[in-house]
Amino acid sequence: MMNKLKINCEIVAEYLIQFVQEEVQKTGIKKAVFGLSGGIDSSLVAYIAKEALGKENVYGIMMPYKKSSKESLEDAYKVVDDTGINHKVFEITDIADSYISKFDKISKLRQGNIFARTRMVTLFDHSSELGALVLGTSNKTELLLGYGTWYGDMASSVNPIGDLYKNQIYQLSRYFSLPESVITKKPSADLWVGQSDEDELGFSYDDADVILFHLYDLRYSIEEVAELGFDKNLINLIAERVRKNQFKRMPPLIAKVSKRTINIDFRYLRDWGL
Amino acid sequence: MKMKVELCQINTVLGDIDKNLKKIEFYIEKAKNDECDMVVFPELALTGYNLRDLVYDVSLDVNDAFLDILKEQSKNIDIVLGYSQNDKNYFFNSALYLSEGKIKLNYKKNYLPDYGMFEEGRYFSSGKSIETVDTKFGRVTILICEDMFHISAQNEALVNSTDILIVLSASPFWSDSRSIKPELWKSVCSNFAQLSGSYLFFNNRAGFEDGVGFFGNSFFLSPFGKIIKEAKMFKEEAIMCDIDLNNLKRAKSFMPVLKNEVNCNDE
Repeated sequence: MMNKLKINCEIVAEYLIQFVQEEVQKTGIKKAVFGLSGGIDSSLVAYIAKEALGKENVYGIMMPYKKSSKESLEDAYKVVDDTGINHKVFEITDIADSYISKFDKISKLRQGNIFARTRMVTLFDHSSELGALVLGTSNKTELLLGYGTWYGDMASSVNPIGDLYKNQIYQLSRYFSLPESVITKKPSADLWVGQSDEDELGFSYDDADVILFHLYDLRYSIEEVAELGFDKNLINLIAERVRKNQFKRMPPLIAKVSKRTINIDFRYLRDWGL
Repeated sequence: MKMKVELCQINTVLGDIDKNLKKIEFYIEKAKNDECDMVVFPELALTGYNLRDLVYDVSLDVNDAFLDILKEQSKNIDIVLGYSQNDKNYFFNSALYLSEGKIKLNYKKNYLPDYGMFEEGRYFSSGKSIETVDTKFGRVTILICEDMFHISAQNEALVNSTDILIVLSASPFWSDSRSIKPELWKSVCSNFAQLSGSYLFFNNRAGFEDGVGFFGNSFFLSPFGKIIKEAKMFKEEAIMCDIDLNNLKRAKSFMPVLKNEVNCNDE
Protein backbone atom coordinates (compact mmCIF):
# COMPACT_ATOMS: atom_id res chain seq x y z
CA MET A 1 0.00 0.00 0.00
CA MET A 2 2.95 2.26 0.65
CA ASN A 3 3.79 1.93 -3.05
CA LYS A 4 0.96 4.29 -3.84
CA LEU A 5 2.88 7.05 -2.08
CA LYS A 6 5.93 6.60 -4.26
CA ILE A 7 7.07 9.76 -5.97
CA ASN A 8 9.47 10.41 -8.80
CA CYS A 9 12.17 11.97 -6.61
CA GLU A 10 14.21 13.41 -9.43
CA ILE A 11 11.31 15.36 -10.91
CA VAL A 12 9.72 16.32 -7.60
CA ALA A 13 13.09 17.56 -6.29
CA GLU A 14 13.60 19.70 -9.37
CA TYR A 15 10.07 21.06 -8.97
CA LEU A 16 10.50 21.94 -5.29
CA ILE A 17 13.83 23.65 -5.94
CA GLN A 18 12.20 25.72 -8.68
CA PHE A 19 9.30 26.49 -6.31
CA VAL A 20 11.57 27.87 -3.58
CA GLN A 21 13.64 29.84 -6.03
CA GLU A 22 10.67 31.50 -7.73
CA GLU A 23 8.34 31.99 -4.78
CA VAL A 24 11.13 33.55 -2.72
CA GLN A 25 12.88 35.60 -5.38
CA LYS A 26 9.77 37.06 -7.02
CA THR A 27 9.07 38.93 -3.78
CA GLY A 28 12.35 40.78 -4.30
CA ILE A 29 14.04 38.83 -1.51
CA LYS A 30 17.04 36.66 -2.25
CA LYS A 31 17.51 34.87 1.06
CA ALA A 32 15.67 32.36 3.19
CA VAL A 33 15.80 31.51 6.88
CA PHE A 34 14.34 28.49 8.64
CA GLY A 35 14.49 26.60 11.90
CA LEU A 36 16.98 23.75 11.60
CA SER A 37 16.29 21.21 14.33
CA GLY A 38 18.31 18.36 12.90
CA GLY A 39 15.10 16.44 12.26
CA ILE A 40 14.38 15.03 8.86
CA ASP A 41 11.86 17.69 7.74
CA SER A 42 13.94 20.79 8.38
CA SER A 43 17.07 19.01 7.18
CA LEU A 44 15.40 18.23 3.86
CA VAL A 45 14.37 21.88 3.54
CA ALA A 46 18.04 22.84 3.99
CA TYR A 47 19.02 20.75 0.96
CA ILE A 48 16.18 22.08 -1.20
CA ALA A 49 16.84 25.71 -0.21
CA LYS A 50 20.56 25.38 -0.84
CA GLU A 51 19.93 24.20 -4.39
CA ALA A 52 17.30 26.88 -4.95
CA LEU A 53 19.01 29.95 -3.54
CA GLY A 54 22.67 29.05 -3.12
CA LYS A 55 24.21 28.15 0.23
CA GLU A 56 25.29 31.73 0.91
CA ASN A 57 21.65 32.86 0.85
CA VAL A 58 20.28 30.23 3.23
CA TYR A 59 20.28 30.51 7.03
CA GLY A 60 19.52 27.56 9.27
CA ILE A 61 18.78 28.74 12.81
CA MET A 62 19.26 26.13 15.53
CA MET A 63 17.10 27.03 18.52
CA PRO A 64 17.67 24.51 21.30
CA TYR A 65 16.05 24.65 24.72
CA LYS A 66 18.12 23.45 27.66
CA LYS A 67 16.38 20.07 27.63
CA SER A 68 16.61 19.59 23.86
CA SER A 69 18.43 16.47 22.79
CA LYS A 70 22.13 16.87 22.06
CA GLU A 71 21.84 14.42 19.16
CA SER A 72 19.44 16.77 17.38
CA LEU A 73 21.95 19.59 17.51
CA GLU A 74 24.71 17.27 16.34
CA ASP A 75 22.55 16.22 13.41
CA ALA A 76 21.81 19.85 12.59
CA TYR A 77 25.56 20.50 12.48
CA LYS A 78 26.00 17.56 10.11
CA VAL A 79 23.47 19.16 7.77
CA VAL A 80 25.21 22.54 8.02
CA ASP A 81 28.59 20.94 7.28
CA ASP A 82 27.22 18.93 4.39
CA THR A 83 25.27 21.77 2.72
CA GLY A 84 27.54 24.67 3.62
CA ILE A 85 24.56 26.91 4.47
CA ASN A 86 24.89 29.69 7.04
CA HIS A 87 23.89 28.80 10.56
CA LYS A 88 23.40 30.28 13.97
CA VAL A 89 22.69 28.75 17.34
CA PHE A 90 20.11 30.80 19.20
CA GLU A 91 19.25 29.30 22.60
CA ILE A 92 15.65 29.92 23.58
CA THR A 93 16.06 28.72 27.18
CA ASP A 94 16.18 32.07 28.98
CA ILE A 95 13.39 33.60 26.87
CA ALA A 96 11.06 30.63 27.25
CA ASP A 97 11.90 30.09 30.94
CA SER A 98 11.29 33.74 31.72
CA TYR A 99 7.79 33.43 30.27
CA ILE A 100 7.10 30.05 31.86
CA SER A 101 8.22 31.38 35.29
CA LYS A 102 5.20 33.75 35.31
CA PHE A 103 3.00 30.74 35.97
CA ASP A 104 2.96 28.45 38.99
CA LYS A 105 1.62 25.55 37.02
CA ILE A 106 1.90 25.04 33.30
CA SER A 107 1.09 21.93 31.29
CA LYS A 108 3.54 20.14 29.01
CA LEU A 109 1.34 21.07 26.06
CA ARG A 110 1.44 24.78 26.91
CA GLN A 111 5.19 24.61 27.37
CA GLY A 112 5.58 22.87 24.03
CA ASN A 113 3.54 25.61 22.36
CA ILE A 114 5.64 28.28 24.10
CA PHE A 115 8.84 26.73 22.74
CA ALA A 116 7.37 26.52 19.24
CA ARG A 117 6.16 30.12 19.37
CA THR A 118 9.42 31.42 20.82
CA ARG A 119 11.14 29.81 17.86
CA MET A 120 8.61 31.43 15.53
CA VAL A 121 9.38 34.87 17.03
CA THR A 122 13.08 34.18 16.62
CA LEU A 123 12.71 33.13 12.99
CA PHE A 124 10.52 36.04 11.95
CA ASP A 125 12.86 38.46 13.72
CA HIS A 126 15.81 36.97 11.88
CA SER A 127 13.76 37.22 8.72
CA SER A 128 13.68 40.97 9.27
CA GLU A 129 17.30 41.21 10.36
CA LEU A 130 18.62 39.19 7.41
CA GLY A 131 16.13 40.25 4.76
CA ALA A 132 15.13 36.62 4.34
CA LEU A 133 11.80 34.85 3.91
CA VAL A 134 10.87 32.19 6.47
CA LEU A 135 10.63 28.72 4.96
CA GLY A 136 8.11 26.31 6.43
CA THR A 137 9.13 22.82 7.47
CA SER A 138 5.76 21.18 8.19
CA ASN A 139 4.92 18.12 6.13
CA LYS A 140 1.49 17.06 4.87
CA THR A 141 1.04 14.37 7.52
CA GLU A 142 1.53 16.89 10.36
CA LEU A 143 -0.55 19.55 8.67
CA LEU A 144 -3.47 17.19 8.13
CA LEU A 145 -3.28 15.77 11.65
CA GLY A 146 -2.86 19.26 13.11
CA TYR A 147 0.24 17.95 14.86
CA GLY A 148 1.95 21.29 15.18
CA THR A 149 1.61 24.63 16.92
CA TRP A 150 -0.61 27.21 15.26
CA TYR A 151 1.50 30.34 14.74
CA GLY A 152 4.42 28.31 16.02
CA ASP A 153 6.18 25.76 13.84
CA MET A 154 3.27 25.98 11.39
CA ALA A 155 4.05 29.64 10.65
CA SER A 156 6.04 30.45 7.52
CA SER A 157 5.93 32.37 4.27
CA VAL A 158 6.75 29.60 1.86
CA ASN A 159 6.63 25.86 2.53
CA PRO A 160 8.22 23.49 0.02
CA ILE A 161 7.30 20.24 1.80
CA GLY A 162 3.68 20.83 2.92
CA ASP A 163 2.24 18.58 0.21
CA LEU A 164 4.52 15.64 1.03
CA TYR A 165 3.60 12.85 3.41
CA LYS A 166 6.20 11.71 5.95
CA ASN A 167 6.97 8.68 3.81
CA GLN A 168 7.64 10.93 0.83
CA ILE A 169 9.92 13.09 3.01
CA TYR A 170 11.97 9.93 3.60
CA GLN A 171 12.07 9.17 -0.14
CA LEU A 172 13.38 12.64 -0.93
CA SER A 173 15.83 12.57 1.98
CA ARG A 174 17.39 9.44 0.54
CA TYR A 175 17.45 11.10 -2.88
CA PHE A 176 19.31 14.13 -1.47
CA SER A 177 21.59 11.81 0.58
CA LEU A 178 20.89 13.39 3.95
CA PRO A 179 23.14 12.23 6.80
CA GLU A 180 22.21 8.67 7.75
CA SER A 181 21.55 9.53 11.41
CA VAL A 182 19.02 12.20 10.36
CA ILE A 183 17.12 9.63 8.32
CA THR A 184 17.21 6.70 10.71
CA LYS A 185 16.45 8.28 14.09
CA LYS A 186 12.92 8.18 15.57
CA PRO A 187 10.87 11.24 14.61
CA SER A 188 10.45 13.65 17.52
CA ALA A 189 9.22 17.21 17.99
CA ASP A 190 11.78 17.29 20.85
CA LEU A 191 9.54 19.52 22.95
CA TRP A 192 10.36 17.48 26.05
CA VAL A 193 12.91 14.83 26.94
CA GLY A 194 12.34 11.50 25.24
CA GLN A 195 9.32 12.70 23.27
CA SER A 196 8.42 10.47 20.32
CA ASP A 197 5.92 11.64 17.69
CA GLU A 198 4.54 8.18 17.14
CA ASP A 199 4.15 7.43 20.87
CA GLU A 200 2.39 10.74 21.40
CA LEU A 201 0.10 10.36 18.38
CA GLY A 202 -0.69 6.77 19.29
CA PHE A 203 -0.11 5.41 15.80
CA SER A 204 2.76 5.06 13.36
CA TYR A 205 3.56 7.52 10.60
CA ASP A 206 3.37 4.67 8.10
CA ASP A 207 -0.21 3.87 9.11
CA ALA A 208 -1.15 7.56 9.23
CA ASP A 209 0.29 8.18 5.76
CA VAL A 210 -1.53 5.28 4.16
CA ILE A 211 -4.82 6.14 5.85
CA LEU A 212 -4.58 9.86 5.09
CA PHE A 213 -3.54 9.22 1.50
CA HIS A 214 -6.53 6.97 0.89
CA LEU A 215 -9.02 9.21 2.70
CA TYR A 216 -8.00 12.51 1.13
CA ASP A 217 -5.86 12.01 -1.96
CA LEU A 218 -7.85 9.06 -3.26
CA ARG A 219 -11.17 9.99 -1.57
CA TYR A 220 -11.78 6.55 -0.08
CA SER A 221 -14.60 6.27 2.46
CA ILE A 222 -13.88 5.15 6.05
CA GLU A 223 -15.37 1.75 5.16
CA GLU A 224 -13.20 1.41 2.08
CA VAL A 225 -10.07 2.21 4.08
CA ALA A 226 -11.13 -0.34 6.72
CA GLU A 227 -11.29 -2.96 3.97
CA LEU A 228 -7.58 -2.36 3.41
CA GLY A 229 -7.05 -3.88 6.85
CA PHE A 230 -7.01 -0.88 9.18
CA ASP A 231 -8.84 -0.69 12.49
CA LYS A 232 -11.96 1.38 12.01
CA ASN A 233 -11.38 3.19 15.32
CA LEU A 234 -7.97 4.32 14.12
CA ILE A 235 -9.34 5.57 10.81
CA ASN A 236 -12.11 7.45 12.63
CA LEU A 237 -9.62 8.92 15.08
CA ILE A 238 -7.44 10.18 12.25
CA ALA A 239 -10.36 11.54 10.24
CA GLU A 240 -11.61 13.38 13.33
CA ARG A 241 -8.18 14.90 13.92
CA VAL A 242 -8.14 16.20 10.37
CA ARG A 243 -11.59 17.74 10.74
CA LYS A 244 -10.95 19.31 14.14
CA ASN A 245 -7.70 20.87 13.00
CA GLN A 246 -9.00 22.52 9.84
CA PHE A 247 -8.71 25.91 11.61
CA LYS A 248 -4.95 25.52 11.86
CA ARG A 249 -4.69 25.37 8.09
CA MET A 250 -6.66 28.57 7.59
CA PRO A 251 -6.18 32.29 8.07
CA PRO A 252 -8.40 33.71 10.88
CA LEU A 253 -12.12 34.04 10.20
CA ILE A 254 -13.30 37.54 9.41
CA ALA A 255 -16.84 38.73 10.08
CA LYS A 256 -18.37 39.78 6.81
CA VAL A 257 -19.81 43.28 7.09
CA SER A 258 -19.15 44.96 3.76
CA LYS A 259 -19.87 43.91 0.20
CA ARG A 260 -16.23 43.04 -0.24
CA THR A 261 -14.62 41.13 2.58
CA ILE A 262 -10.99 40.08 2.64
CA ASN A 263 -10.57 36.48 1.44
CA ILE A 264 -14.32 36.04 0.99
CA ASP A 265 -15.06 38.27 -1.97
CA PHE A 266 -11.85 40.27 -2.03
CA ARG A 267 -9.90 37.55 -3.78
CA TYR A 268 -6.30 37.84 -4.89
CA LEU A 269 -3.32 35.53 -4.80
CA ARG A 270 -0.26 36.40 -2.75
CA ASP A 271 1.56 36.54 -6.08
CA TRP A 272 -0.55 39.54 -7.16
CA GLY A 273 1.77 41.64 -9.31
CA LEU A 274 4.71 39.30 -8.63
CA MET B 1 6.21 23.92 -47.87
CA LYS B 2 8.24 24.50 -44.77
CA MET B 3 7.79 26.77 -41.79
CA LYS B 4 9.75 27.59 -38.67
CA VAL B 5 7.92 27.96 -35.38
CA GLU B 6 9.00 29.14 -31.94
CA LEU B 7 7.07 28.04 -28.84
CA CYS B 8 7.72 30.37 -25.89
CA GLN B 9 6.75 28.80 -22.56
CA ILE B 10 7.05 32.03 -20.65
CA ASN B 11 6.57 32.76 -16.98
CA THR B 12 4.34 35.76 -16.34
CA VAL B 13 3.83 38.44 -13.72
CA LEU B 14 0.33 38.00 -12.32
CA GLY B 15 -1.86 40.90 -13.40
CA ASP B 16 0.90 43.07 -14.89
CA ILE B 17 0.15 43.34 -18.59
CA ASP B 18 2.88 45.94 -19.21
CA LYS B 19 5.63 43.68 -17.92
CA ASN B 20 4.19 40.65 -19.68
CA LEU B 21 3.89 42.53 -22.96
CA LYS B 22 7.55 43.54 -22.69
CA LYS B 23 8.54 39.92 -22.30
CA ILE B 24 6.31 38.86 -25.20
CA GLU B 25 7.89 41.55 -27.39
CA PHE B 26 11.33 40.31 -26.40
CA TYR B 27 10.49 36.79 -27.55
CA ILE B 28 8.84 38.03 -30.76
CA GLU B 29 12.05 39.86 -31.54
CA LYS B 30 14.02 36.71 -30.83
CA ALA B 31 11.76 34.64 -33.08
CA LYS B 32 12.18 37.17 -35.86
CA ASN B 33 15.95 37.03 -35.47
CA ASP B 34 15.68 33.25 -35.64
CA GLU B 35 13.78 33.72 -38.92
CA CYS B 36 10.64 32.08 -37.62
CA ASP B 37 7.31 32.27 -39.42
CA MET B 38 5.24 31.88 -36.29
CA VAL B 39 5.70 32.54 -32.58
CA VAL B 40 3.39 31.08 -29.95
CA PHE B 41 2.70 32.08 -26.32
CA PRO B 42 0.67 30.28 -23.64
CA GLU B 43 -2.83 30.66 -22.30
CA LEU B 44 -3.37 34.05 -20.60
CA ALA B 45 0.21 35.00 -21.50
CA LEU B 46 -0.54 38.70 -21.25
CA THR B 47 -2.04 38.55 -17.76
CA GLY B 48 -0.99 35.47 -15.83
CA TYR B 49 -3.34 32.61 -15.03
CA ASN B 50 -5.11 32.67 -11.68
CA LEU B 51 -6.36 36.24 -11.90
CA ARG B 52 -9.31 36.00 -9.53
CA ASP B 53 -10.52 39.58 -8.96
CA LEU B 54 -7.78 40.96 -11.22
CA VAL B 55 -9.91 39.80 -14.16
CA TYR B 56 -11.87 43.04 -13.91
CA ASP B 57 -8.73 45.17 -14.12
CA VAL B 58 -6.55 43.48 -16.72
CA SER B 59 -8.98 42.31 -19.40
CA LEU B 60 -8.81 44.04 -22.76
CA ASP B 61 -11.31 44.76 -25.48
CA VAL B 62 -10.24 42.99 -28.65
CA ASN B 63 -9.87 46.42 -30.28
CA ASP B 64 -7.92 47.95 -27.39
CA ALA B 65 -4.99 50.08 -28.56
CA PHE B 66 -2.82 48.11 -26.15
CA LEU B 67 -2.85 45.28 -28.70
CA ASP B 68 -1.75 47.55 -31.58
CA ILE B 69 1.89 46.89 -30.93
CA LEU B 70 1.30 43.17 -31.40
CA LYS B 71 -0.67 43.78 -34.58
CA GLU B 72 2.21 45.86 -35.84
CA GLN B 73 4.68 43.08 -34.99
CA SER B 74 2.53 40.54 -36.81
CA LYS B 75 3.32 42.20 -40.14
CA ASN B 76 6.52 40.15 -40.15
CA ILE B 77 5.60 37.08 -38.16
CA ASP B 78 2.40 35.29 -37.19
CA ILE B 79 1.71 35.57 -33.45
CA VAL B 80 -0.49 33.37 -31.28
CA LEU B 81 -1.13 34.27 -27.65
CA GLY B 82 -3.62 34.06 -24.82
CA TYR B 83 -5.14 37.06 -23.06
CA SER B 84 -8.06 37.98 -20.88
CA GLN B 85 -10.78 39.54 -23.00
CA ASN B 86 -13.37 42.08 -21.93
CA ASP B 87 -16.37 41.82 -24.22
CA LYS B 88 -19.05 44.29 -23.05
CA ASN B 89 -18.05 43.73 -19.43
CA TYR B 90 -18.19 39.97 -19.71
CA PHE B 91 -14.86 38.22 -19.59
CA PHE B 92 -13.35 35.50 -21.73
CA ASN B 93 -10.21 33.40 -21.58
CA SER B 94 -9.26 34.13 -25.19
CA ALA B 95 -6.54 33.58 -27.74
CA LEU B 96 -5.50 35.72 -30.70
CA TYR B 97 -4.08 34.68 -34.05
CA LEU B 98 -2.38 37.77 -35.46
CA SER B 99 -1.03 37.91 -38.99
CA GLU B 100 -0.22 40.59 -41.56
CA GLY B 101 -1.00 43.33 -39.07
CA LYS B 102 -4.48 42.07 -38.35
CA ILE B 103 -6.39 39.86 -35.99
CA LYS B 104 -7.20 36.76 -38.00
CA LEU B 105 -8.92 34.97 -35.14
CA ASN B 106 -10.11 35.79 -31.65
CA TYR B 107 -11.00 32.49 -30.04
CA LYS B 108 -12.89 32.34 -26.75
CA LYS B 109 -12.17 29.27 -24.63
CA ASN B 110 -15.20 26.97 -24.67
CA TYR B 111 -14.58 24.73 -21.69
CA LEU B 112 -13.77 26.55 -18.47
CA PRO B 113 -12.64 24.26 -15.65
CA ASP B 114 -14.31 24.98 -12.33
CA TYR B 115 -13.46 21.83 -10.39
CA GLY B 116 -10.57 21.02 -8.04
CA MET B 117 -8.26 24.02 -7.92
CA PHE B 118 -9.81 25.72 -10.94
CA GLU B 119 -11.96 28.84 -10.78
CA GLU B 120 -12.20 29.83 -14.45
CA GLY B 121 -15.92 29.14 -14.55
CA ARG B 122 -16.40 31.65 -11.77
CA TYR B 123 -14.85 34.59 -13.62
CA PHE B 124 -15.02 33.85 -17.33
CA SER B 125 -17.89 33.28 -19.72
CA SER B 126 -17.47 30.47 -22.20
CA GLY B 127 -17.11 30.80 -25.94
CA LYS B 128 -19.69 28.93 -27.94
CA SER B 129 -17.79 27.54 -30.90
CA ILE B 130 -14.50 26.02 -31.94
CA GLU B 131 -12.96 28.15 -34.66
CA THR B 132 -10.65 27.19 -37.49
CA VAL B 133 -8.94 29.83 -39.60
CA ASP B 134 -7.17 29.74 -42.97
CA THR B 135 -3.60 30.92 -42.67
CA LYS B 136 -0.51 31.00 -44.88
CA PHE B 137 0.37 27.65 -43.39
CA GLY B 138 -2.94 25.85 -43.72
CA ARG B 139 -5.99 25.56 -41.54
CA VAL B 140 -5.26 26.44 -37.91
CA THR B 141 -7.44 25.67 -34.90
CA ILE B 142 -6.65 27.02 -31.45
CA LEU B 143 -7.79 25.20 -28.34
CA ILE B 144 -7.08 26.44 -24.83
CA CYS B 145 -6.03 23.91 -22.19
CA GLU B 146 -9.22 22.26 -20.83
CA ASP B 147 -10.79 22.42 -24.32
CA MET B 148 -8.39 19.68 -25.33
CA PHE B 149 -9.83 17.30 -22.72
CA HIS B 150 -13.20 17.49 -24.48
CA ILE B 151 -13.53 14.97 -27.29
CA SER B 152 -16.24 17.16 -28.75
CA ALA B 153 -13.78 20.04 -29.15
CA GLN B 154 -11.22 17.71 -30.70
CA ASN B 155 -13.92 16.45 -33.03
CA GLU B 156 -14.71 20.00 -34.15
CA ALA B 157 -11.04 20.51 -34.91
CA LEU B 158 -11.05 17.25 -36.86
CA VAL B 159 -14.11 17.92 -38.99
CA ASN B 160 -12.89 21.47 -39.65
CA SER B 161 -9.97 19.87 -41.52
CA THR B 162 -7.35 21.27 -39.18
CA ASP B 163 -3.78 21.16 -40.44
CA ILE B 164 -2.23 22.65 -37.32
CA LEU B 165 -3.82 22.44 -33.90
CA ILE B 166 -2.33 24.94 -31.47
CA VAL B 167 -3.02 24.18 -27.82
CA LEU B 168 -2.30 27.03 -25.42
CA SER B 169 -2.09 25.96 -21.84
CA ALA B 170 -1.48 26.89 -18.21
CA SER B 171 -1.46 23.39 -16.86
CA PRO B 172 -0.44 22.81 -13.24
CA PHE B 173 2.02 20.09 -12.31
CA TRP B 174 1.03 17.11 -10.23
CA SER B 175 2.48 13.69 -9.84
CA ASP B 176 1.59 10.40 -8.23
CA SER B 177 3.08 6.95 -8.09
CA ARG B 178 1.81 6.10 -11.56
CA SER B 179 2.41 9.20 -13.61
CA ILE B 180 3.26 12.85 -13.87
CA LYS B 181 0.98 15.42 -15.46
CA PRO B 182 3.00 15.95 -18.69
CA GLU B 183 2.42 12.29 -19.60
CA LEU B 184 -1.32 12.89 -19.64
CA TRP B 185 -0.89 15.79 -22.07
CA LYS B 186 1.48 13.90 -24.33
CA SER B 187 -0.92 11.00 -24.54
CA VAL B 188 -4.01 13.14 -25.23
CA CYS B 189 -2.26 15.32 -27.81
CA SER B 190 -0.37 12.63 -29.70
CA ASN B 191 -3.61 10.70 -29.96
CA PHE B 192 -5.24 13.63 -31.73
CA ALA B 193 -2.28 14.42 -33.97
CA GLN B 194 -2.07 10.83 -35.10
CA LEU B 195 -5.78 10.29 -35.69
CA SER B 196 -6.31 13.60 -37.46
CA GLY B 197 -3.02 13.65 -39.33
CA SER B 198 -2.33 17.19 -38.20
CA TYR B 199 0.57 18.98 -36.59
CA LEU B 200 0.02 19.90 -32.97
CA PHE B 201 1.88 22.63 -31.08
CA PHE B 202 1.38 22.38 -27.32
CA ASN B 203 2.54 25.49 -25.49
CA ASN B 204 2.30 25.28 -21.71
CA ARG B 205 3.57 28.08 -19.51
CA ALA B 206 6.25 27.85 -16.84
CA GLY B 207 6.40 29.53 -13.44
CA PHE B 208 4.54 29.41 -10.14
CA GLU B 209 1.46 31.18 -8.83
CA ASP B 210 0.95 30.77 -5.08
CA GLY B 211 2.61 27.37 -4.99
CA VAL B 212 0.92 26.07 -8.14
CA GLY B 213 3.66 25.25 -10.63
CA PHE B 214 2.95 25.20 -14.35
CA PHE B 215 5.06 22.44 -15.82
CA GLY B 216 6.15 23.89 -19.17
CA ASN B 217 7.39 20.93 -21.25
CA SER B 218 5.86 22.38 -24.42
CA PHE B 219 6.19 20.22 -27.52
CA PHE B 220 5.75 19.87 -31.26
CA LEU B 221 3.93 16.78 -32.53
CA SER B 222 4.20 15.50 -36.05
CA PRO B 223 1.02 14.48 -37.91
CA PHE B 224 2.14 10.91 -37.24
CA GLY B 225 1.77 11.56 -33.51
CA LYS B 226 5.46 11.67 -32.63
CA ILE B 227 7.10 14.35 -30.51
CA ILE B 228 9.57 16.19 -32.75
CA LYS B 229 10.90 18.52 -30.12
CA GLU B 230 10.06 19.34 -26.51
CA ALA B 231 11.01 22.00 -23.99
CA LYS B 232 12.27 21.53 -20.44
CA MET B 233 9.95 21.08 -17.54
CA PHE B 234 9.34 23.99 -15.12
CA LYS B 235 11.64 26.57 -16.71
CA GLU B 236 10.90 29.46 -19.03
CA GLU B 237 12.28 28.62 -22.43
CA ALA B 238 11.70 29.11 -26.16
CA ILE B 239 12.07 26.15 -28.49
CA MET B 240 12.25 26.31 -32.24
CA CYS B 241 11.27 23.71 -34.78
CA ASP B 242 11.30 23.33 -38.55
CA ILE B 243 7.95 22.07 -39.77
CA ASP B 244 7.61 20.33 -43.12
CA LEU B 245 3.99 20.91 -44.05
CA ASN B 246 4.28 18.37 -46.87
CA ASN B 247 4.04 15.74 -44.15
CA LEU B 248 0.36 16.64 -43.80
CA LYS B 249 -0.59 15.01 -47.10
CA ARG B 250 1.51 11.97 -46.25
CA ALA B 251 -0.08 11.54 -42.85
CA LYS B 252 -3.58 12.17 -44.14
CA SER B 253 -3.15 9.65 -46.96
CA PHE B 254 -1.65 7.10 -44.58
CA MET B 255 -4.58 7.41 -42.14
CA PRO B 256 -7.44 9.18 -43.95
CA VAL B 257 -9.75 9.04 -40.97
CA LEU B 258 -11.70 12.18 -41.82
CA LYS B 259 -12.66 10.83 -45.26
CA ASN B 260 -15.38 8.66 -43.79
CA GLU B 261 -16.75 11.12 -41.26
CA VAL B 262 -20.35 11.88 -42.22
CA ASN B 263 -20.07 15.61 -41.67
CA CYS B 264 -16.74 16.24 -43.35
CA ASN B 265 -18.21 17.26 -46.68
CA ASP B 266 -20.03 20.32 -45.35
CA GLU B 267 -17.32 22.73 -46.48
